[in-house]
Amino acid sequence: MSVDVRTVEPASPLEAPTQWVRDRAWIAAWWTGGRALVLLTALIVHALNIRGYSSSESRGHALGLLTGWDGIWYRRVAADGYLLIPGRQSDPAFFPLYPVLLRGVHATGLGYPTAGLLLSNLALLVALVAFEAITRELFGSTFAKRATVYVAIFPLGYVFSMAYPESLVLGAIALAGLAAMRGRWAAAAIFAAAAALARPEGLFVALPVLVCAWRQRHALTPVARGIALGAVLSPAAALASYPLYLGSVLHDPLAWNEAERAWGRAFSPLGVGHAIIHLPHALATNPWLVRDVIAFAVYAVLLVAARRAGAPGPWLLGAVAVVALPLFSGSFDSIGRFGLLALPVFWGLAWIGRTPHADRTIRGASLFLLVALTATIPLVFP
Amino acid sequence: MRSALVTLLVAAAVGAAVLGTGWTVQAASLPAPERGELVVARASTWLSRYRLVDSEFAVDGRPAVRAQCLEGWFPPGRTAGARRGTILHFGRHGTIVALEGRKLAVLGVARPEAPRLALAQLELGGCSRLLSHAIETDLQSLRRVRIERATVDDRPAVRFVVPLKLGRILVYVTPRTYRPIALSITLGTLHGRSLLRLTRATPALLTRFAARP
Repeated sequence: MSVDVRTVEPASPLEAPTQWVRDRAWIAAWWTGGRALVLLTALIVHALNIRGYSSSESRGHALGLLTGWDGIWYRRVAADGYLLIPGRQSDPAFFPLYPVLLRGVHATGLGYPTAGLLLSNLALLVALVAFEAITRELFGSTFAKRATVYVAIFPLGYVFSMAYPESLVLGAIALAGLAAMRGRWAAAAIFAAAAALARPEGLFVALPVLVCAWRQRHALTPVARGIALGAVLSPAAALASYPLYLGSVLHDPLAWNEAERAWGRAFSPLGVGHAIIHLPHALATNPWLVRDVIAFAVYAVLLVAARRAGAPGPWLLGAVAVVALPLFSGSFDSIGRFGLLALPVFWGLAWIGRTPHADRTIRGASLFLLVALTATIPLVFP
Repeated sequence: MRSALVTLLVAAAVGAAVLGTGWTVQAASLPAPERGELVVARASTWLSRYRLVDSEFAVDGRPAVRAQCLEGWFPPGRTAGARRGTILHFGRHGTIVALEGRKLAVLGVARPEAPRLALAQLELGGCSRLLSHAIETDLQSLRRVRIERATVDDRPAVRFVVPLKLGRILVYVTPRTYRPIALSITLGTLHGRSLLRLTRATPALLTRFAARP
């Protein structure tokens, strides 16, 4: 008997990271292309001096279009902290993680608008990488590639380039889900907490994390099971830390609810009925609302498609909550933006785009709509 | 049994760690509001929670009068054509009616009053919606708020200035809870002072208010 001995050269320590980056270069390419379109459109709108409702503060910056609307509020929180003004629109309605990071980037010497743009756009790159990884584990690499491209050029995805926390939350949700699937519970806890501290929708990542923990329970030690359960609880705990903080600085732990009410977001079980009954009047007052109504319908279709694609139930349930819960505040306002945080929306789109013709059509339409919707920013809040 | 307990304890520890870290990150990174801003915001919160205010005010060198101001819908109840607004009863017979979409009406006074005097009386009467509106507008203007120590009837207080188009209001609040207790107003050439008492609007008080001619 002869033994064939082969010597295997150990991989260079730098080779693995280099290969990892090389394998994902296409993500960076789509990110660059999509963001270039958004930034270029914003520059053109600035050059054409299309003012709309944009503030003078936003008009002072060449890319100021992307730092307006809620971006101004996040900036205000980062610079001055929270202050509840009863009965008025005030900043406790805006969750704290994004302003905290904004302040951190600002500390490097960048102005707040630049810091916001840098933070949001880099967070999107991380989010795309995390989204591709989790989608590949669930659906395979071809599907993941298609879905990731669609995220990078999604028509309402111009919000990912604005000084808003959406790209950060998308990344945190994808990373929390990915960590849970790989049994990295401490990381899952951190990312799930980050998602909930940046936007209340982050809370719903607890559903897929819970199901992952339940499925792996027999393989875990009691301590690991505890950390997994802690990861499930972490979004709620992070969410609770916000009213706790508001209670300590404003002496009012309910400041968030009061501020939300002033922004017209008072949740009620009858809110859905109110939103539908008052839709004709709301459309007459603000015709731009049709964008969010269409987005809601499109999201509903995409979630059905995601179900047919075989998207896991907990992710679908969380996505339904992200898309439908805002209706309980009695309005369709901003549902288009909120739905960006529902990962199954993009899985549904990737399922629809499974034929080359459908894929080409979706890419073409997305690129066109991305530019068109970016140009509407001065006219309507996202 | 023991392993379940370990699991629950570890989960609780992770939850507590996230809660504590979340709070610490916010407290360490975000600036706390200045005390002046908090005092003004709290004063406004007090006013927004009360729609009935008892007061005693003196304006333009006239003798002090007792007053009572109510915010709400008039006529009260689910009446068709009811309008939101403010009614101030002052002195023996004086009444100022300020309803949305209607002209300011001053009733029960011997001589017609200048609108500016009526406005000063509404503010001095502590009419909570008017007053909180003025305070909130100032707070939203991002002007740096200055607070000062003061006294009201020899009791310690804190005061701050609310600028108006034609003058200013000095609002005096209690030093701990920041509840508004007194006002001093300058409106053009008019000067006035008042003591306030925010009052819970009970059905009996509302009936008595409505019964006044």
